[in-house]
Amino acid sequence: MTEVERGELNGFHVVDPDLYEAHREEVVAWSNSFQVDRHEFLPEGQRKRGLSDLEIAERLGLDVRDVTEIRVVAENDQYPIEEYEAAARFKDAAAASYHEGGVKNLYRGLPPTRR
Amino acid sequence: MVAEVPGPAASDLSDSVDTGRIDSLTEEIRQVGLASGATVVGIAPPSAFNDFVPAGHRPEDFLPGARSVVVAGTTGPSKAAWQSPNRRLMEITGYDFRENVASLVMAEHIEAHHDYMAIQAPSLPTSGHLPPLSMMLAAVLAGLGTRSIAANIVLNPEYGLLYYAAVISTMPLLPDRQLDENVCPARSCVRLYEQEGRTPCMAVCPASEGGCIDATIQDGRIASSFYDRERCATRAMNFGIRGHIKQVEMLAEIEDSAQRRKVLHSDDFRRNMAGIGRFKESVAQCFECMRVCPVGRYRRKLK
Amino acid sequence: MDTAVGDGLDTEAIKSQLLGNALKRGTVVARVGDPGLLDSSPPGQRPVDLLPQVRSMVVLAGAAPRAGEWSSPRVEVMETTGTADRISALGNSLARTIEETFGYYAMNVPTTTDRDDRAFLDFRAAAVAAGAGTSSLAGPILHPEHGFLYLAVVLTSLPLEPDGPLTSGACPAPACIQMWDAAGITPCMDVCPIDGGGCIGGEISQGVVVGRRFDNDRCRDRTYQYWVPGYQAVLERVLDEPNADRRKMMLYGSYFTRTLWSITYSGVAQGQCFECMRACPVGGKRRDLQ
Repeated sequence: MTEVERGELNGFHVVDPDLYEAHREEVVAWSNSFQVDRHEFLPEGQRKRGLSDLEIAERLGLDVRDVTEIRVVAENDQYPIEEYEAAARFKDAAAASYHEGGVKNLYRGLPPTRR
Repeated sequence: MVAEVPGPAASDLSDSVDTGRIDSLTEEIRQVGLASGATVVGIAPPSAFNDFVPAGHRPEDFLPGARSVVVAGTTGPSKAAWQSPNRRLMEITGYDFRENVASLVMAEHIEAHHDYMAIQAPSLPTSGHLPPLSMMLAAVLAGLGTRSIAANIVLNPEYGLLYYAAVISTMPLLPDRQLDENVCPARSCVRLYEQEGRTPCMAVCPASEGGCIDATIQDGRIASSFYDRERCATRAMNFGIRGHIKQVEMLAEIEDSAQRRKVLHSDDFRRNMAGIGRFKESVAQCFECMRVCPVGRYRRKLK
Repeated sequence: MDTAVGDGLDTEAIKSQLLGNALKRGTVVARVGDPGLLDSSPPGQRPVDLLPQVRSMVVLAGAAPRAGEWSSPRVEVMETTGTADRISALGNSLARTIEETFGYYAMNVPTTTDRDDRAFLDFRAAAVAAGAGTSSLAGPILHPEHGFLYLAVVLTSLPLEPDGPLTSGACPAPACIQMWDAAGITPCMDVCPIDGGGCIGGEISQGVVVGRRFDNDRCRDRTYQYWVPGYQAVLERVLDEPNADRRKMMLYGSYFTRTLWSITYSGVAQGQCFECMRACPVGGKRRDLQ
């Protein structure tokens, strides 16, 4: 049997970090990361949708694989790990507030800084 | 109330097909779904997706010749879970995939008993957060709900938050119409907005204060909306894939073995691995906007 | 075999009941095999190594992908809508019924790996021994009528009459023999040739497969394209990469993210390459729907 290299990675594409930084903002703006006016019942001129990777690639003149990587890396890159910790604090506080007083006791404001 | 959104009429279906028979077949498939665990079942016409999503994300892309998209919706957490003061409990048990079971059973029923092709619509994310086909859009087009302010979640008028799965099939079925009235904002939410400039979900998770949601309401209707999906993901997928990725990045940069050990043996690391290892824990880890949403809330009250 | 055992059970009737229920509940093939036929398996992988009291092996086969899925032009469909869990659930149910109703030991053999890439049991050999299918050039067991099916194997101390192996093979199919005679290749070899970056090689002589060659490593990397092996491979590259920005591009990128999703949903996301089976004509008539 022919020796084959383990882990041939069909689909493993590493985008150049400089290309990522150069186009990250545009790709994110056109993707579904931040969704503005997506509701189906909004009038056609107002309603927006996210662009596909192919559509973004055509606009920017980039390889679609690079666009996919820029988009996905940016999804993970948007918030640091500290945001995940803040998320847990927020949920603790919001659930506790509601449990204590329902809608009349909604948690308001930034996530607490400590648990 | 918004203007009625027209859907394809029975006469738009193939002239050679008996529409009376289609009606009874449609009801048969619906009942199969309901008997298999779906709370609601609706049918969307594949062509309706074209106005809302780009090529590559439409039913026809996954099953050429598709003529129906059958959508099943089920409730998520149990009513008791909503009552628990421990919010982690609902986050771990909130997702039991019954809508997937129902869609699987309907797909098999269609192929086994009616000789039409049917596939479970691919809805798991295959490229970052992007699923091949949007179940939220499918639910809207099948008349099962409308998109809300709260994280764009599709709210069913009776049940509120539901989870959705779908079947794409070549079988002609009678499509349901999109809802005439938007479920969101509810009347109580409009009142709060008029008093404070925020609905309950906006108040608890405001985009301007570290949250995810913002919107404007005019004449009782959503006039504009904003949703920060990436921040929402830090909350709804708090422990799992993304947290793990960041911890691996951190570990690759730490040179001191004692510090690495601390990260590896931390509760956060364990919880991230648990989220990866058990799919029921992997998503739906934040319900705070839905907790304060009045739609369907009365259904959560038991003895 | 004496159908009435010492405790008065009619094992023929029991067998009929068990297999009949399994067929009603969704398996398409239910057969009994002699576990002794697997005694030549490596130590640790024989039925008696898993259940010392084993006397029968029940093989269930079914839960194949749907006709619509085979016909979809998008690979994400079959990569993410796996059906194998259902046959596993039927195996669990059968095992429970045997133990709780009849009082004999029964275990549904796990389909995951024991150590390294080694399975707990050779499922294909079990299926062949029970007559649930026959081996194929491409690798999966094929049932002559249904083609590619997922398998569950229940080992039990309940003595059931074995059905035995099938007397004729599903592979090569007549259409494949014709193709070989005309072009020196079969559909599965054509789509995945071992000498062209694929996994499958061999010849057909007098209607039988001979000289089979199979690249197991490459097949595993395709079947588990986005799963643990992929995760391990990316992690290796990351740990070898001195540049922090490039490490980030790998870790945050689509491939690593996708392997993690697949690990999370591994019940439905393993089995990520079906191309040899898509091309296989066995059972193909069942895919001819409207």
